Amino acid sequence: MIPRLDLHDTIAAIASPAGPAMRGLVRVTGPHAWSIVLDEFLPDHPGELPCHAEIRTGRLTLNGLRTPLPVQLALWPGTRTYTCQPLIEIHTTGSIPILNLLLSNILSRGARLAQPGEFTLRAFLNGRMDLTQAEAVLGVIDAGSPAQLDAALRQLAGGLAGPIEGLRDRLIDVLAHLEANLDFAHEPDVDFLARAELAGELARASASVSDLAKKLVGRDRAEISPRVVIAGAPNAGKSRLFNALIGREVAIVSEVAGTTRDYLSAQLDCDGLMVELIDTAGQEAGQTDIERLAQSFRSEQVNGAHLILDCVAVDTLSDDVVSPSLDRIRVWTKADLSEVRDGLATSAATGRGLNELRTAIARHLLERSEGDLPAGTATRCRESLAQASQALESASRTIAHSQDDELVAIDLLSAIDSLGEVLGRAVDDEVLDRIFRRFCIGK
Amino acid sequence: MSSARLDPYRYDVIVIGAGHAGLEAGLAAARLGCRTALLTINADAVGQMSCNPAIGGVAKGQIVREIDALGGAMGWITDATAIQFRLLNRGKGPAMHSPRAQCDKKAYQFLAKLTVEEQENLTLRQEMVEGLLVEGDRIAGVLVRGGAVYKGKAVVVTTGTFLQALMHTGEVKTTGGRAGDSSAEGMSGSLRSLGFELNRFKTGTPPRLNGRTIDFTKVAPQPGDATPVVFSFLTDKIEQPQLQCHITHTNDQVHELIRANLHRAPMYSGQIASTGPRYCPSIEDKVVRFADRDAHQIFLEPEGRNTREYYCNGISTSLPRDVQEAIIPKIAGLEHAEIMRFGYAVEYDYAPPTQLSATLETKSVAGLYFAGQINGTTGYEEAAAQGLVAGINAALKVLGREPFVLDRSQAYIGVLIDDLVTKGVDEPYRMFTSRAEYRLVLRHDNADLRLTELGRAIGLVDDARWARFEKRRNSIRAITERLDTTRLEGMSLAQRLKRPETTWKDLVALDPDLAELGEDTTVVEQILVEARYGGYIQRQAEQVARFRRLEDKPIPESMDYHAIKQLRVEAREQLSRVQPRSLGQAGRIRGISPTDIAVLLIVLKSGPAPRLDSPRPKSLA
Repeated sequence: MIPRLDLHDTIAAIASPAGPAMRGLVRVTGPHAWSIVLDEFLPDHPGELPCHAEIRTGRLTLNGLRTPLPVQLALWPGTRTYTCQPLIEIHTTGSIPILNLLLSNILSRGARLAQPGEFTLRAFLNGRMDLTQAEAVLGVIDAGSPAQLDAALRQLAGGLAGPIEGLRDRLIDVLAHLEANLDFAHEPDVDFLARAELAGELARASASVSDLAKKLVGRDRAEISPRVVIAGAPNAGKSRLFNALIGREVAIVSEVAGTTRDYLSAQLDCDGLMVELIDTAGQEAGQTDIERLAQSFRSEQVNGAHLILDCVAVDTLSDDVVSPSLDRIRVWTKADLSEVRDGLATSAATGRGLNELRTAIARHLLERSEGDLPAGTATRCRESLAQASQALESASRTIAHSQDDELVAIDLLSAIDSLGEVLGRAVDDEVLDRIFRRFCIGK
Repeated sequence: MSSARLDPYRYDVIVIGAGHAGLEAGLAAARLGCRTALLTINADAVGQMSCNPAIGGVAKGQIVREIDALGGAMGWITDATAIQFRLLNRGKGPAMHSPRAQCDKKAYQFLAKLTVEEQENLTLRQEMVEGLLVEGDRIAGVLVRGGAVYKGKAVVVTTGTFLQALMHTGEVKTTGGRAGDSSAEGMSGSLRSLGFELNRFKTGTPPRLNGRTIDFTKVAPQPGDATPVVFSFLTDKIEQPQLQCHITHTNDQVHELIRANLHRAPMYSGQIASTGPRYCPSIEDKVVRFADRDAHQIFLEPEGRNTREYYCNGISTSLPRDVQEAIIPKIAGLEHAEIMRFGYAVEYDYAPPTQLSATLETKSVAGLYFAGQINGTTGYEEAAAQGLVAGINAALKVLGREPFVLDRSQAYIGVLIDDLVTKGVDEPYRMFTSRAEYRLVLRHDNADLRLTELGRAIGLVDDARWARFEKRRNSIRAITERLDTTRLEGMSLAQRLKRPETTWKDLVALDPDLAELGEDTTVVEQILVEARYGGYIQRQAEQVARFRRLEDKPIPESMDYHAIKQLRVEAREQLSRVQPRSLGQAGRIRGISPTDIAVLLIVLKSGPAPRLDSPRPKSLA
């Protein structure tokens, strides 16, 4: 499979950080950026297009939205942009469903979803960035590795990877059968693949794809709210920190239904970035079944977190310091009680350090925002499923008015590739392997 | 033995081996003007079909057409000596149509030998090559048995199954690369001492029978096509009469006998450990791996017009002779059949082809080329294709010209060589259409349109072939233009042709002038094929454009992957081993991810991202 890094494609991505920020931003670059965006743009003030960078306000007509969306377009004409290709930034509301709708409209008009770091890659190749910066980008591109994709998928979809894998596997079987009929039609052991059977397989596959696509709908919130978990030893002051952080918010603290002792979550505004703050309250080892259950819920929360606030009370003697990392912030609590050491010191009692903590949370999440946070995963997944669905429909159409299995094979392979992209897997010798396993080929 | 030093023979190109790869390599190099020596251990065996006497088949037929379109020999020699033609996959779309022919084995061989003998600049000589002569990291020539030296600027090694070849029939082992022939024992050592890695593969043949003793009333006849589809773009018509093949089957009794004697089969007794091809299993393999099948097909193929010898396609075996003798009479029609030659398996050395660049030149010794079965392939067609490419490149190198590489979008030959040098082989490599991602455009019918201009530029396409090609191409252009410009009822004929129900006759009825333009049926076929595939061909063209963009980003040969610390260790090792010539090829190496390609893009900084402006609306409405 050819890596999808074609520099001639028009690419698009949501460029605002993961999470419901105040404003959202979708960036589009490439040879067709202008027509893709401007064809559906109703400017507030009609007029000549700018010859230099300029901001225009107006509305964008979107499929799936009854009234046009108010937007500000930052237009960079020509090749004097950081990607050296026409570039448009669409500034609009931070609402995630709206941003996703906007993005899928742009994709359906011919843009391709940008790979993580791909804007930066184009910038680097055009000398808009030095190697040190580019190296930082490489780490981000690496987020596309199968293991991470898989983790993100599991997190996102609660097990979408399994069904997608199963569907892909089934389609490879069908393709192997089809290919056996093309390459080894004269072999007596290769049974004919009846048209009706093939049509049935494709119809079932199409249904599975729409089913999977439906499961993705409504996961937007889970998908994009970065989860910030307060963790730490008993009596580290976690709950007090939680209450202090959300204290000024309207009372949106809610115990999650049905699991009274598992965790508390609340929306927290960190410099405009909305996060889901989770308090793993009641850390004390439980004896009852309910408490043990709660314990396992807590570990799940910590494991699924985008950021962990590692709380240690300043008066704690033992100091098993965990080394700082991208997904972990050390937070000193109870700073009113004792002398403060280096780092982020907070006090729920005095309110000290709470604003700094919010800023730190936002900064940490933003630093990772170009990586494959689950925000990208859902869109990527949706986009791949849409492509698989299109390919399967095209295959079904071909079956309806042509006898040429080699054409069906093209669509089938493209569906398999699209599903493989979600899983980070390419078809290599799998098809031939299955043919030889299943049929006795050769004179 | 004389101690007098012989003066070395001097050639531009030396080809070792005169099988299907060697003869194409020798002919190509000589025709490009290089003084060429073609050395073989048996001058009677030029172009011999050691296995079944057939050329072509699915995907292989397309390769033969490509060899022909470039100016190679296999296509027209087949046309001249075939005894039966069949177009396989006739019921499928045109990209799947694959010509195949049974050949008169001896006639093929004699015509191949005569062709080589008549070629100017080409010396055919019977010699056993014992080793390679290397000066520094350049090839200098070869040493032959008896001490003579051939000096050469380029050497093409096409030794087939003859490197340390060992034949097995049951417990009996015989040295040799083909029944009745010897083995090349010196070359493997010479290659190893130059640092080449060699591994072992295995392949096999079935017993051959005397047709006089076959009861043809008990087997089903399989006739050829009434109208043969030929291999060469130079052939107008097949004049010679066609012969029939026949089909029979194995049965439970045969399978029982095989199961009872499995412990005596070299593949099962442990006597042979090397890998054989999965798509060409021995009959013992079929019986074991597909135990639920109660019969396997056997094609009885005549080996020629002037012999009664029959090739039993379908029961290749290395079982002992007494088991072979017991099996044959159990098969319908073969009750009294006499075996003329016993089946055997042969083990041989091959050189993993990732040691080659896409010109088939070895990466470690300049001027040294490998082609054919030594690269781990099977099949006459695959061998000939490599021989042609290696011979061309050896000559171009001697002449100081640019190398010749076909890519995956241009030809099956490009797919073949790219697969070999990029991915290597883990079983003998045979071509399948499914290996070609652009197979809709890699058809047998348009091989000349894809390749003959390239062959002309190299210098292999002579004036006669070129004239035929130009005539055909011009007719296709004329008809295409006519269909585009003739409009009836508000619709061009080209648009009308896109409707699946439209036939050529319908068009001729609407525009009688088309009848004359479409006199050549192969021309009309081109037009119809392109119309039939319509949008899909357009889609493949877009995919090809996308493919070319990465293919056209070269990676310098001097690239030190170990110095790129951003690459994963595995990627560094794989890239160092294969030394891809382009980012596209790098992306096809096993275990190389898009991330690795992004890293290479950054490290190479291989030209800026394209500055792509686009037409845009002048004003905002």
